[in-house]
Amino acid sequence: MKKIILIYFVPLFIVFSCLFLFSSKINSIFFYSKVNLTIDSSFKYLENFRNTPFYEDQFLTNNDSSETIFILGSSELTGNLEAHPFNFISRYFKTKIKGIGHAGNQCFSIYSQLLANENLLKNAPIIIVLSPGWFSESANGTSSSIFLEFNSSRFLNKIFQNDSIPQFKKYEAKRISSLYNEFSNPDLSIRMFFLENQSSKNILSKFFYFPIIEISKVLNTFNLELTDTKNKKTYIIERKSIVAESVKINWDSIFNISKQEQLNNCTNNKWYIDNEYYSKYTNGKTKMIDIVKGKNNQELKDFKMLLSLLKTKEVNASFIILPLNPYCYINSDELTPLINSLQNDILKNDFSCMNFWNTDTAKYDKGILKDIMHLSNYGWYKVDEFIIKKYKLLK
Amino acid sequence: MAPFSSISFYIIITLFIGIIYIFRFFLSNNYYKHLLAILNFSFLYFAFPKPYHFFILVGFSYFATFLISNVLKFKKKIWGILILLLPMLLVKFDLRIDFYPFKLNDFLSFAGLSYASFRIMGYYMDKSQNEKMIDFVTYFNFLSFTPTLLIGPIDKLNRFKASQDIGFLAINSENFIIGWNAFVKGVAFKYIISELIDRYWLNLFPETSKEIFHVANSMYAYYFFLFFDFSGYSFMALGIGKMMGINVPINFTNPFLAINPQDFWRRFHISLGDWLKDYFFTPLYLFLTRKKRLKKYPIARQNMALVLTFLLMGCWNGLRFNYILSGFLFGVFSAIHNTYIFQCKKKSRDVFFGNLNPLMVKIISIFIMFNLVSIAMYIFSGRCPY
Amino acid sequence: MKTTFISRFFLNCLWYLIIVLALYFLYSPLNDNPKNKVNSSVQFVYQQF
Repeated sequence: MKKIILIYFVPLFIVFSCLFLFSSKINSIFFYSKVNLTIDSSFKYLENFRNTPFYEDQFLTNNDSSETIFILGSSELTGNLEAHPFNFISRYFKTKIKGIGHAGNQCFSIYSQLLANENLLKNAPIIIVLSPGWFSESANGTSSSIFLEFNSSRFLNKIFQNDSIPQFKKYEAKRISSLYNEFSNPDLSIRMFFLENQSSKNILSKFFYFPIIEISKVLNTFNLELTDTKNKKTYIIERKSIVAESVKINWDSIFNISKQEQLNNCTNNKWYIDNEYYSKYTNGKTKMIDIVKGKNNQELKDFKMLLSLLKTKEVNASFIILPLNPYCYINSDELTPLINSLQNDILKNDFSCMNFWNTDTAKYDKGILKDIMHLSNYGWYKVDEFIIKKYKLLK
Repeated sequence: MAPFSSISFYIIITLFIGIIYIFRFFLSNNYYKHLLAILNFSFLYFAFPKPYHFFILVGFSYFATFLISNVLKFKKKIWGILILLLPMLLVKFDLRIDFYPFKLNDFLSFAGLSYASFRIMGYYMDKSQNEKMIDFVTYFNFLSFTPTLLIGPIDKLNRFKASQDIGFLAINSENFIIGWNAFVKGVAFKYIISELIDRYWLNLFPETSKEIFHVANSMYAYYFFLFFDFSGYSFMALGIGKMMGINVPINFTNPFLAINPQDFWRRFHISLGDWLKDYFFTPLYLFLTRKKRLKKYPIARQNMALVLTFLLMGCWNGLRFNYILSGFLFGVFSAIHNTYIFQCKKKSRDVFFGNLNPLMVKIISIFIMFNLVSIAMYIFSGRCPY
Repeated sequence: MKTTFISRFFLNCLWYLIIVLALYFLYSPLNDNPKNKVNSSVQFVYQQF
């Protein structure tokens, strides 16, 4: 036994100690020091954090002159329209708007991003754009790949190491575990959530997983020390009061012109859809939205947890509920009870809500959508008006 | 968490080895298998995906083996084989029963089904009728031994039992050193060499490129990658097994030096080669020998059995064209070699190499075999652009 | 006996040093190779069966 220890484990111990002691020297030999990227803090829109991880630090922070409002959502934020709040409002006001998200960035992904930055949430002005499509059977719940695009191991570690939010952390672990089989080669941070969820199943599991979790934590800390030295300090952001300015906006003329422009684009159909989109994708074919049957509406559960997080952390949040094109989606009224319940939940928690939902073709505000589910410039100007009123940007 | 897939697995294994080393001071040798069963059970129950599937398979196969060989006493083994392999066959053929509310595969398939089925069938084939069933604890350990759970090697029950019966006596410093060295070798193979090949060699040229040099490069790289990856696992399983007190059979011994197909299967995935030889090739050959029409053609009989055996191996990997073709190729290589040996014996001289220097013969054989195997493996990989 | 003991000790030191450094190089979070993940044939087996 002594021989084993001396010949096999002492060398191993020596080697590991050397690695630990000379890690900075080894790093400088093995890995090139990363070029410091200049961060443009005036960015308006990010598709996700994975392509631009250096912007993670900017999430939920504010600018020098006023507060910054973050608008989080999915595919409607892409396309860079003139009327997108991060274009329109940012151009005329000191208060800036920043958009984050693309198709698939749904409730759980947003929940996790916010939870990771829960220290910045209090009074933070955040707008969440809800697409009715999220609540359909085919998109029920954030997908694993989209989740990873927005939630880096750094964000997940922040959640894991934060013990002040037990009930939210537990939900995060439960949801990550439900996606666990879809992750190929999951990161250590994801694994730890999975292990934590497994261990919480019963007392025996707790016993079994205890040493594994503890060792994983040590390894993870080592990982973090290697990569995240500069991120150790926690940012404390003082929320600023939003500056009210005197900007002249003639809403009536903006609405009229943008609506007319949109209608001019829709000449080959009677559904008020852009010509190009119509001929390419729709072509007169109606669609059915696949309603989630039974009680297992994952997106709704995620939404409720998101709402609960926003409420607990006293976020200055508001919601936009988008419509579907009622000409195209012939069964959209089947979704109305769910949309109504979303709105009720939002209002019950004292958040404001702009609801575009409408299933009646007679009452449809023509030109509000540019295709079957995305707002046109006209639609976005309506959102701009709502934001300016809600956050009192005008004097 | 599947075995060998994450750092957590190694933490669990370290704990298991620690537990065995501690309990050897407190438990008598008879209880070794019970301790092993508890560890295997807890790995499956706590860490393995779909543990109940595995437990049901163990229970079903034990009961079915008992029923078939001790109660019903089927005369033809083939019926017993079909019953025992039924779960795997249903998964392999991916049967969809449309009027069921679920896909049968979602319900039946789980990681480790294939290897477990191989072991189950091995036991059934070796067991003679009326022979008393092995005790359930040993049977459970045999199927669920953690390091060999997912990717073999395919052990035989008698071997496993013999090794298990040594019990705590096998837990000593000599075995630990042997196990540790095999484990470290496995780590170096799997996590370093195969990873280096994968990162820096395998994708040197685009996979779709049809240029002969690019294809050749990917072909050799893939063979080396597959060998180091798979043998890495096998060595780790062997090492962990040894440290836990179980002798796991060696699965790889330098296949690059193989001089002929027969030699190759004695060096590459040995346990599968042995399994196919014992439970498929030999019974099939005996069956063909009994056919009157084939009596006159002994060499054709052998070759037919060889090609069919390797075709089966291809099919086992999955019913896809590339697997079946690569299996067929291995079959053809073996058949050609078999014919060559037959001709040499018949004419009492080397019909291919003539009077060439034996060393040269060996070198040329190694070169030919290496290239043939590379080609077959590359087809197996499904990466071949042609 | 003593020389083999010492030589084994140093050989192991060297051998483990090579392995640990290689593992560290390949799997360190600082290695930004897009393939910095364990490419597992267990995954292959898992998908197949």
